[in-house]
This record gives sequence, structure tokens and C-alpha cells, in this order.
Amino acid sequence: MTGKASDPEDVTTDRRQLLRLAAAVTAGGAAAWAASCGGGDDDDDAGPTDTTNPQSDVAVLNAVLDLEHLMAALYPLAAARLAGEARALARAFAAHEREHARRLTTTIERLGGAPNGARPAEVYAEQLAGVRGERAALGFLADLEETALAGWGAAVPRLSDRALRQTAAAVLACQAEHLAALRAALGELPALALPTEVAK
Amino acid sequence: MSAGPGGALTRRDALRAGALAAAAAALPAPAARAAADDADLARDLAAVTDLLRRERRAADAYAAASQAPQLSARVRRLAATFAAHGRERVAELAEALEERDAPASAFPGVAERLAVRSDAAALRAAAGLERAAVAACHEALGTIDDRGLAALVAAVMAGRAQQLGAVRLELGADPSPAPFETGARVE
Repeated sequence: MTGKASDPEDVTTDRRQLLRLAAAVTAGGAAAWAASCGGGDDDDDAGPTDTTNPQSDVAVLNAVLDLEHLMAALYPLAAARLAGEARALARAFAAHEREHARRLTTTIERLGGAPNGARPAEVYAEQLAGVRGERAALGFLADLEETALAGWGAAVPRLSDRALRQTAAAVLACQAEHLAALRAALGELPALALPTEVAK
Repeated sequence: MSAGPGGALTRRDALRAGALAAAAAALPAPAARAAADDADLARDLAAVTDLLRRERRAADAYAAASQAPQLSARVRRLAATFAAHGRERVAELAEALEERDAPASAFPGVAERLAVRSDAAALRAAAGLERAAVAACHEALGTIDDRGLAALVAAVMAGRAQQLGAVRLELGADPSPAPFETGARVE
């Protein structure tokens, strides 16, 4: 992709709206995840994995499924604010998000869980109300991808099944590629060596 | 949470304060076993050590490319960014090993050079380097037991995937050709 966003619109859309939405759509999965783990402290990421725990894994996967529903809904809406190569890119990434959601849904069902459904379309649509112009839309999507990286990065070590970890990491890597492409469209290079939080 | 100029949230603020990250942080990790199995730990450390070697080699290669006069300023800038990121990942991996009593200094990297005859040659070599690194991280996550190391390896994988996407763009290729990036060749 060679096209760069050229219009100088304000990219500082109301990011708080996005964050509130992310919190709202992930709250169900997070609560289920916490319940399945029995509560407790949140800073012990170190140490070896116990044996696989499908119930815990379902809760983790539902948390990221909420996120994928969000991404799958917002990408096409943002794509409508883009043109040319940027629009094609957003549409391609939307297809990736739908595939992530589909794979998560079937995996949760295979584990004996109930996959979370998407929220009503208008809940997602209203988040883009203040996003005007191509550069603002690209910035919004970059924010969305950074949020996705944080979510998937948190999910990988919490999955008890190593095969699920690998699949989750493959999604994480895909989201990282999306972010690199969106940043390039904004005229920026990848910004972080480690784009997800690393527990110390 | 800090704010950018004019009180607006920056994208970095959004990441740090991201609602999902906050939600995830509120979710407890399952309890760790009381004592690590020595064999499992040795396997984990061996996998991370291999990744450390790869990061050192890549960082050195990108540092050399960033000084190569036959490359364009654009590609040299990309290489310099990747070299700096590589050094950060080396430091994180070395710290993780040392915290587990496996001194990283015992595992030196091996010198490597990107093909720097031209921008195209350097970028093709970089794509191969990045794809191999993503694949190595993906494979390691299939064996690593330690949750802290798994989180770190996932973060390294994301960092290398970002670089892979950026290099593909420079080559005029699709930056993200598949919904699941494992490092397998798809171009």
C-alpha cells in the first residue's frame, strides 16, 4: 500500500467512547473469566501452567470473542469513511476479524461452552459518529488494533491449552500486522518493540 | 492516565488505559504450581534462549543495514528502527532468563548480515528473517509452560509480526495476507 492519508482532519476523535465500548462489550467475558478462575490476585503471570482447564479457557476465549465482534462490526463502518487502498485494506482486515470470531465461536462450542453473541449493531455504530475523514478513521482503527493487541496479549498466557495459545498468538500476530499497515497509512513506523504488556 | 496536547487522549494513552487491557488485568491468572518441574523449566529456557539468539542476530543485521550506503534513506530508517526494537527485545529476553538463573551472556548471538546489495534484496532478506522469527515464536508457544515466558514470547511474536507487516508493505505486498499469522510462507 502506498497511499497515505493526506487530509488533516482532527484524529483525536472521542477515544473515550471507544474505550467505554470496549469495556462494555468485554465486561461479560471478563466476569465469566474471573468467575471461572475463582477470583484472586491479578499479578501472578509467572510460573508454570497447570493442566488444561476447558472452563477457564472458554472464559478467556469469550473475552476475546467480545473483542472480535467489536472489531468485525467497526471495520466495515470505518471502511466506508476510507477510499482507495485504505478502504481495500480495511475491508480485508474486516474479513480477518470475522474469521477470528468464527474460529473462536467453533472453538468455544467444541470445548462445551456457550459463545458470546455480538451486541446490537447500533451499539457499535454510534462509536463512529464523531469520526470524520480518512485520517480520523485510520487513527480510530489503529486505536482499535492497539486495544486488540492488549486483549490478545493478555489472553495468550492465560490459556491453559498450549495449542489454544498458539492459535491465539497467531491472531495476535495478525492484529500486529494490521496495526503496522494502519500506522504506515498514517505515515508512521511500528512504534513499540513489544506491543503487548509483558508481566514482570 | 495522561493526556496529549490539548487534553486529547493519544493513541499510546489509549493503549495504556485501554478498557480491554484493564478488563484483562482484572482477570486473575490461574494459580501457579508450587514448584516448577526442572525438565519443563529447562525446556522453556532452551526455547527462550533460541529466541534470544535470533533477536541478537536480527538486531545486529538491522544495525549493519542501517549504515549501508547502498540502501535508500527510507530503508535505512526502517532498519534503524528495527535494530532499536531488536535491542529492546534482547534486553527483555535476557532479563527473563537471568531472573530464572539462566545467564543470557552464556548464549551469544551469531553474526548475520542482510543482503544489502539493494533495497529490494535487503527487504526480501528482512521478510525472511521476520517470518522465521514469527514461526519460531509460534513453535515455542507450543512447548513453553511458564506463563511469564509465554507472555513475553507472545509479545516478541507481535513485535516481529509488526515488522513483517511493515516490510511486506515496503515490498508492495499484502501486509497481512491471512487471518492467522504463524510465520508460514504465504507470499
